[in-house]
Amino acid sequence: MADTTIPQIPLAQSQMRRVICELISNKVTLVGLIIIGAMLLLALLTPWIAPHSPYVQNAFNANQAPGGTHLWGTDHFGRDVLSRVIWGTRVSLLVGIGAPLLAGIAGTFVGTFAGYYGGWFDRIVMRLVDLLMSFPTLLLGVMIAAALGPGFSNVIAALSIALFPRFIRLARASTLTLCNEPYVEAAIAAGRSSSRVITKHIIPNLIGPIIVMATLWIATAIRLEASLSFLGLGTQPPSPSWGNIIRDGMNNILGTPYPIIFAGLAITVSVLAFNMVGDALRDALDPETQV
Amino acid sequence: MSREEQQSAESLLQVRDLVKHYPIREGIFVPREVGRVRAVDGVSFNVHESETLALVGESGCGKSTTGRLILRLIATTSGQIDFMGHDLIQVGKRALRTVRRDLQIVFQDPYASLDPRLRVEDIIAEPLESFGLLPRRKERRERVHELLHEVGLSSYHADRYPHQFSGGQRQRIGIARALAVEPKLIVADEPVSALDVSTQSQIINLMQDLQERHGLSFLFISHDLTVVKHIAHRVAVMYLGKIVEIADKQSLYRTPHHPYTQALLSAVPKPDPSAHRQRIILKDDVPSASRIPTGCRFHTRCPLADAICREQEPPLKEVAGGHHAACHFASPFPIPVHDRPTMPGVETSVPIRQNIR
Amino acid sequence: MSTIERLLEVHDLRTYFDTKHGIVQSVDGVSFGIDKGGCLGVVGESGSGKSVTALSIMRLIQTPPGRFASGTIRFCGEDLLAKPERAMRKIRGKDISMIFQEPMTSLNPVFTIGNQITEAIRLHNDVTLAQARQRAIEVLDLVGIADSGRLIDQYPHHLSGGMRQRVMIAMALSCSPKLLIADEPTTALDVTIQAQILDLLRKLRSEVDAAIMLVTHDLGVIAEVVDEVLVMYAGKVVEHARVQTLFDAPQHPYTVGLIDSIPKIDETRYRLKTIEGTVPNPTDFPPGCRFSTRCPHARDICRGEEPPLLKVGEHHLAACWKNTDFRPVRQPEAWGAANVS
Repeated sequence: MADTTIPQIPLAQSQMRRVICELISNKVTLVGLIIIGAMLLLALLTPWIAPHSPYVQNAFNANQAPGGTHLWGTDHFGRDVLSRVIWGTRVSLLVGIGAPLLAGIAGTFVGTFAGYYGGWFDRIVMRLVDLLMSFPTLLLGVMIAAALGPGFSNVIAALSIALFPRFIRLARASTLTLCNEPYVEAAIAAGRSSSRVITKHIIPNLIGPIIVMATLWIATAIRLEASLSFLGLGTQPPSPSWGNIIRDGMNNILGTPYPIIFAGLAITVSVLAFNMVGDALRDALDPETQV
Repeated sequence: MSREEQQSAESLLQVRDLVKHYPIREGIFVPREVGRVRAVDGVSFNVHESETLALVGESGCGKSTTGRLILRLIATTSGQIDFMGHDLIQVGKRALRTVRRDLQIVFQDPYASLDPRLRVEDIIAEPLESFGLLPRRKERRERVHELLHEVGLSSYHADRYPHQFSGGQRQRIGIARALAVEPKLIVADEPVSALDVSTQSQIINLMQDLQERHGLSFLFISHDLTVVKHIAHRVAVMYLGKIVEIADKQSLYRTPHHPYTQALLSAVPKPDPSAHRQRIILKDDVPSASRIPTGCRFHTRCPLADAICREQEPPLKEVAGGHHAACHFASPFPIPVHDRPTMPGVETSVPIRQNIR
Repeated sequence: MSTIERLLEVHDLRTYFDTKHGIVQSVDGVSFGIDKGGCLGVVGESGSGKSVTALSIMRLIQTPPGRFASGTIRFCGEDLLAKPERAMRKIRGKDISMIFQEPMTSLNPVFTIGNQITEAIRLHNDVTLAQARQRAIEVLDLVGIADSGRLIDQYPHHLSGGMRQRVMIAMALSCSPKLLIADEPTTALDVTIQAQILDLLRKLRSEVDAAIMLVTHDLGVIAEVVDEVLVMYAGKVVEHARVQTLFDAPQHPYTVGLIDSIPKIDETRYRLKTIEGTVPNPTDFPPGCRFSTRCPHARDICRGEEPPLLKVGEHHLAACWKNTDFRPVRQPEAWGAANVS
């Protein structure tokens, strides 16, 4: 009886599959994804791809324009700009992805617990979040990085802490909304314990917005890392990062502008790519558009 | 008293003086209570085995809050809830979980009450899993298929996601989830009000079938008097956090004693253009639950209100066998329909237009 | 009587939406008319196209994704679908006005009731502020608001749901429209408030010149207010009749099922009759009669060919092959044709 009255319903594509389909069906997003993929490849295979060493100096070869053996020219120490930018990709991506990832994971947990249980824990956490968020992210990053001292891992730590409150706030707000969803009440009525309600119903449903926010913050984190390195608080020379390539280039801008141009281009392109993909992800993960 | 005791012996759920107040707080540093929203304000009733008790009322009357209090989804301010010998308010966390096996809920909104990220099988199996019944996955799967058939769906629906179903089918899934652990009582919070007319009747029939087959009890919360007429055995009418009338279905629909019930019944639009309409039209809207009128809480809208109604709150008293009403002037005779408060003489002046030929 | 005298004449309206899942034929070949001062009810379940029909008349369909695939909507002899948007803006709110389901969200919370009504009046009429205010008080009186002089300076949040719906109706009537479209005006309200609003609508029918088009899913509301009913299913008109005829002798199996499946307050049956199955997916309607998948009488012809809307009695049209003994017919008599004769 049931089969005659109920129309056949096709199996749904898995969530992951659907989101990927949606992302690659848009040309702009596809370009963004390809750029990100290429950057990831560069970062993974740096030693094999970079045509020269990023460190070897050659005074005779300084301040060369692009062309010849040095495709993007050389800086005032005679180091190959292309190789330095490629090595810089590694740093930028590690910081750019690492900081939002750490902040996202920690923020989701703290925010979810604060939102779900409320009480004094929630109140303390939220006041701290308010305090941290009253500073601009860059300023906060600078303050923490200055306190921790320069260095690659300290930059990640500084940026993670700077981004942390934003993820707490998003996770908490989402949790508060989700707690009022009837399906969460249904799970409680079905005898689920609090921890299972959180892991099974709340976190899976708020992970979408968190991923979107993390992707958009990757772009900002790349910018922030460059800013910190530019200020001398990030990656220390001679290790290349996009920020300190620009900083070095600034001192020698009359000698050759190419280090600044190419490192700046790398920052712009990667920030654009992550922003495009982030926006598209937001649309793809929006439950309103799911049919 | 002995009759009362006998009644309580066979009743599954006993609610006594249930109260839920939400404090209204003001002040930034030291919030202090400036008022109270009296959402549920002293509600008592019993639900017997294999019985459907309907809680009826307009929005804001506290009927849904009462349902959630019974399930302990929200904390009670005061009162007693006795379910199968357990005091649900005192019972500890662990014991509460065992009690919940016998006490399930079906929600109003079939779109919001199913987690969009879970497959139907996981949704229905959730109570089985959390109560540790049928620990083997294969057994659980079989039970889910059985439940799907029971609510009129098919086994192959188990692998679908909720958004692929229509409203009526989702409500069937919600019912299957509630049935999974073979509860004694299901609190059904407006289970059909979000559905289309043709699917609504399917769900009502399904609920009646299930009651017959499993001896289930329902606490059926609804604003729709026609639906309640169909499914309930007894009906309690709520107004502003209190029960104003409670009786057997026949008795309540045939001889409503409380003027609010009378107005409510007369206000239901009848799907029959030639029906004779004697409509009691109440003035104004329901007052806010934060400013409940003194005395009888219905007196601001009641056509019969007198001085005593403004001062004294009428108790719920027996007006006929098993029929209780809370009104100083409770009577089986309907309120005479004379002048309408705001718009007199409407019924007579409707000309039938000749515009079809 | 010729068709020219009809206030509104909708002919073969098709409103489609292009979505990524295919074309949704929300309204698919709907024809009907409303006379001056008439009152037409449009009834159907969700997805029947009743609201889209109403919005199409107001031209409030967003294009794209929506589009008018065919048809004409003649209002006072002029085709609304051919009008530019600028001309439509003059008609909306003046000659045709609409009230919506949600009285809570249809009023702007930061302006007083008076501000909002007078603004609507002054948008379409060349009057002074004082005159507009006078008119606003008049219409508020008309919709049964007792203390209109005081209420006019209040903000929407001071009002209850029922009062807000009255204000919405007053606003819709403020420019003396020729046609008032009410889309589920009582659905969001409680029973006792619904009774007040239905009472008001009936009173307005005798006091105001406007024709009323009442869109609802509730047959009870239909029975109380209108004199002519259009039953819609899956974007099509399946039955069109006078209200008394429709309830006494429904012809289309869907209408029969719908009337049977509502629980009635003055009658006790143990089991409700139901219509089996669910409304078909709008991107994927079955061929032939769209109700054939749920119809107890369906035969081969129903699954293959679409039934035309045929005259089945006086002032009564139905789209079902049952009425021609399941034999195809040559000349479909549309409502307009029946009307001309």
